[in-house]
Amino acid sequence: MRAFKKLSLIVLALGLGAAPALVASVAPAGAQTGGKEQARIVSFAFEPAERTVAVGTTITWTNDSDRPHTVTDRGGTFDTNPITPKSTGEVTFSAPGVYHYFCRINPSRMNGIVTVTGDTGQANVNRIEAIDPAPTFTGERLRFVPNELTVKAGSTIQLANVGAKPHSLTADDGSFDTGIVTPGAEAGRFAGTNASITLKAPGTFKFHCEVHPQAMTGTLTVTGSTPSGPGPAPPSDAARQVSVDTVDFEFKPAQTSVAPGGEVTWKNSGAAPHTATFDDVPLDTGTITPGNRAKLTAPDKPGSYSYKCKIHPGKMRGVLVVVGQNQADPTQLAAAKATGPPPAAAGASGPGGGISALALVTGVIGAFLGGFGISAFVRPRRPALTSPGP
Amino acid sequence: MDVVKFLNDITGNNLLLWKVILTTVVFALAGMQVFFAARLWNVSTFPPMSPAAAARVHRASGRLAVTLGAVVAFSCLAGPAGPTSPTRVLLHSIFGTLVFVILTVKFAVLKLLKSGGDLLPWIGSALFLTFAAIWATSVADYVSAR
Repeated sequence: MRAFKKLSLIVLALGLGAAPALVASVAPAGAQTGGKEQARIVSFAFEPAERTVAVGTTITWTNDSDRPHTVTDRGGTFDTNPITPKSTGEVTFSAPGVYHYFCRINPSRMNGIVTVTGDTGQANVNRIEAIDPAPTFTGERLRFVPNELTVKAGSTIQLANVGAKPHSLTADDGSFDTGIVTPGAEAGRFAGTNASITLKAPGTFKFHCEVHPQAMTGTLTVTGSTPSGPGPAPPSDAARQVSVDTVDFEFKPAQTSVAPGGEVTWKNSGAAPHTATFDDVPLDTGTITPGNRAKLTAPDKPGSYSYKCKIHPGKMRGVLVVVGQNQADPTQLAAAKATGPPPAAAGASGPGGGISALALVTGVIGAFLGGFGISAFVRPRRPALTSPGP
Repeated sequence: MDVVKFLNDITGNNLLLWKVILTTVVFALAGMQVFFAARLWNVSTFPPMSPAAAARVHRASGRLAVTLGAVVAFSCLAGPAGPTSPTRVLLHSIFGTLVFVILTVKFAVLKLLKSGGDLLPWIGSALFLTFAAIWATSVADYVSAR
């Protein structure tokens, strides 16, 4: 027993004593000149968690942990999808602004910020984030980031709701309004949504949030002249008709772009019935039996709309992006792609695959030994229990 | 103190993998505990060894299981886990707490009642089943989620 106590004390002392020496703070990286940047994902952390890059920069995250993780915009404009261990995921930041991102598999623990710098007065798209005291933002307050911005006439403002409450970006004089942009599920624990407006006329515009008009205000200065052209711009660069393949158990592709009011078809190529049921708008295909298809008309309002299969809500989720007039397609704007080997199956080759098989075998041995022992105790023919001898 | 970073560093960024390995070892040791307890209580003739030798193995494996279990529990409390399901995390937390409750009861019985009479086999079996539940709500999830 004495040796056991000594061992416990040594384990505790090693743990507590060595910890401070290994602590390192992660400071935000300095502004970069664009191009390519590298970042890491370790077990439940982004390294660096905060960084500043120039507009047009592509950041490549390498997953050095032993679990899949994602790099997902809290404002709903990009999502790398799960990046498996030893694989990479890329995001290109084409619009100046602040991007709160997180891992949607570990939304409370893994968060980071990318600040994209550039000449907002020359950018075609600028981003404004709506932030509030969501549980993921300790000590935050209601505000727009940035709340003062100079942009050119004809450019687009993208409002990304990264908080826990609904917000809007509405001109005091009514000249523009994103409408209510809904927050992420579970009080902002998951990705929120976004909406875009195009600023046509030059001038100075005070704006506010319709839901929090006192706390959330700002000023937009639009420079240049009203863009003139041969005729009205096309309603959207995105396709008017798109198709999503529904298999067991995912939507392919998981994120689809469509023009406002466009037609979206879901085809069930699987063996089980599925639905495409939207979370925030009353759109539902109803049950699509295997081999059949169903059509829906996309909302007129630009933005990202999440949907799920009502029958398999835990496994099947997708996003429909309605791309508005003069609006950059977020799926192209922040072209995110994950590369690398497919996830390793349990017990198969790959990171930890052999360990998984060993863990299962050892677990089965443990269960057998325990089961044998318990069965010996509960056998009716057991002799009367007596205390074990020394 | 950044405990998460510390744990990541000492495990080479493979914290969960090490937790999986240690949890599995603890579960196997818990199985050995009941297995050798059956021999030392003379309710089984297997393995072919004296009850006194079985008692020594039982105690040694028990100490190792408790030590490793405490290390895993510390990393569970201080470090991250894979919250693939809130229900899984809830159940895992309940079983994790239950293990130490049952251990406390067992040691209390041993110290207060000296022998424990008929209680110890039931307490030991409950302890093993709780370890099984912990293993199922952590390692099984880890393996299936890869």
